Amino acid sequence: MVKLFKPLNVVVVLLVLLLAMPLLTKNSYLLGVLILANIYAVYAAGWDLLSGYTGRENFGYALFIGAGAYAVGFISKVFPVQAWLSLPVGGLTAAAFGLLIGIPCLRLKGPYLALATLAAAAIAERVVMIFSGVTGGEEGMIGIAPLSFEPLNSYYYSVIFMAVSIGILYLIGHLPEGLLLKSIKQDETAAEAAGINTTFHKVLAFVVSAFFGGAAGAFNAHYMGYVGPDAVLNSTISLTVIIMAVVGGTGSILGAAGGAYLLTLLGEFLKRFGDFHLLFYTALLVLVVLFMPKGMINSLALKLPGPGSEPVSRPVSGPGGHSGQVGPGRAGGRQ
Amino acid sequence: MGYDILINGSINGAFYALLALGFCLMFGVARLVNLYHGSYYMLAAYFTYLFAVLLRWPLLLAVAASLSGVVAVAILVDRVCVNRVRQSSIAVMICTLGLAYFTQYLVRILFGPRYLSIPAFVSGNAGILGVVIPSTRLLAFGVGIGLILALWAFIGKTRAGRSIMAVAQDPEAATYMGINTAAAFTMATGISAFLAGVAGTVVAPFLSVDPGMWLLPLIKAFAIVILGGLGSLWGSVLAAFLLGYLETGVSLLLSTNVREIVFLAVVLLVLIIKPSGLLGKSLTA
Repeated sequence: MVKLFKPLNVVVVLLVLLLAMPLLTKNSYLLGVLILANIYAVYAAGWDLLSGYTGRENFGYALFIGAGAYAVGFISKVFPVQAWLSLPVGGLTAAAFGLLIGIPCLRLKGPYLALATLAAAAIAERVVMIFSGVTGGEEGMIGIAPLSFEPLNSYYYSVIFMAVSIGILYLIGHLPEGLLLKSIKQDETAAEAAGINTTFHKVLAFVVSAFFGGAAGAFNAHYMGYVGPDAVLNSTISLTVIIMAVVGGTGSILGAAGGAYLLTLLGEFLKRFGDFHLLFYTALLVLVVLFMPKGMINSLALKLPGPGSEPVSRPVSGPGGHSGQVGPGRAGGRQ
Repeated sequence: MGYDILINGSINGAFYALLALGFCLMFGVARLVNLYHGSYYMLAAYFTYLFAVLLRWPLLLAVAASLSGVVAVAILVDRVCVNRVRQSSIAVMICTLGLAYFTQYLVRILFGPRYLSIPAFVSGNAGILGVVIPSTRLLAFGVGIGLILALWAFIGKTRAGRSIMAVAQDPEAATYMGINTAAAFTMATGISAFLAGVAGTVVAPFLSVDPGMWLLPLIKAFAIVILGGLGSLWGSVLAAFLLGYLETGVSLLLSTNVREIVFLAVVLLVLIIKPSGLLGKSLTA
């Protein structure tokens, strides 16, 4: 019985539920919300592959999302490109940016990388504003071919796109590659000493992470029929992605993706509180960071009992476990 | 033109230094990247609006009450929130960022989203070297320079100031020397919030006061501190003035449109070429 709650089973059930959703409800607004949630899930999972796995928090993920979306916008000016072509094109454009940003920033992590990525994304946003003749500036670009003229098809496309993208990211994260990336987060010097080419793997993580951000950005462009700074390039988007991934839980792909669904649906639910909804939303974020340091999805998944789950000693290194650890800033302690 | 850049650049530089010094102090002493720092600046402006405009208190009293309020908020945030997640730098960053947005939405509900104006201590214009500048800006410059010098004297000459620096260098060794590290942390938090709060009260009269006003100063303070070398106070002052001259120069010579991009590009370049910053020692993230 208990084995039913193994993470993968839960994922399969949720995926079936997502696919069956149009049969359960004819509410097109709800389906629209779920399409956005699918897109954000790919953003968060893509962010997680670089930032959650290697511990290099990217504060400018919108740069990659925007690169993919704007690539679609520019091509659409010439001919009405279809989604099947523009998703890979958007992904590859973003991957090129990933290479461009990733290589010079290899040495950076923590607040340094946070600022570098924040600055890079902000520069991209300003450039779009300055060259408004080409990019449409604040107005953005419209006239991008829709996914489908049938809303229901758009919904199914988004579920398929999400499932395939997150499936690939999950595989990468759970193949030896994922372990290699995590070893870089744990101790880069030790990983190098063990013969791992950390430079190669860090750049790879940057490029793959960027690819999925770009592909999802391109998908978003088709879904909205519009590309603009507020939709794909704003710093708010970068921050939203980080918040989703952290609330869900980093370093497991599924946690980050789950965070995107939780927060998108919660955000919709809270909208009934009018002005207060953003207040509740941010309060929840702070509470999760304070009381569930591993993220909501990861914390809840760990608490599920069962023979197939982690051994009993787990909680020692679990959410509350760090209390015995003395961080660099705390040496000496506060009485 | 040259004097324009020199004078306006110095004024902006002093403002940026006020913002960045506190941010730098928190990193130096507690290894904290406190993204709530911009909110001190915003809260000081809103507190001043509350006390001076809504409650009609005398301006000096209103400003004193605002600054005390900001320091109290800072210590509260540190105790309730930051202290719990101190071990993980990303958790601190996200937690303080979440709180900053929370404060923004709270302020928007309480005061409304519109732009407000708060009263200034002085009015009129002054001329220096043929450049006419509003007196409020001149006052901001004077206060900024005064506080930078005061901080320098405090850190260098007083026992309390030196204990803060000792904790910044090596908390463990400082404890062995009989320094109360917890008190030093609290003091640094208070000073940091106070400096940002002063920036809010002296600069807000000639800039806009709105719930989103914290973000840009926060990013600039962050960038200045990294440009100067994380943890190096005088590196931050140097970087703040460089940024002040650069921004003023670029907006006078080219256009205000490219001002921010030039600044961001410089930051990115420094990060890539010399991540430890202008006066920083080594890369410890």
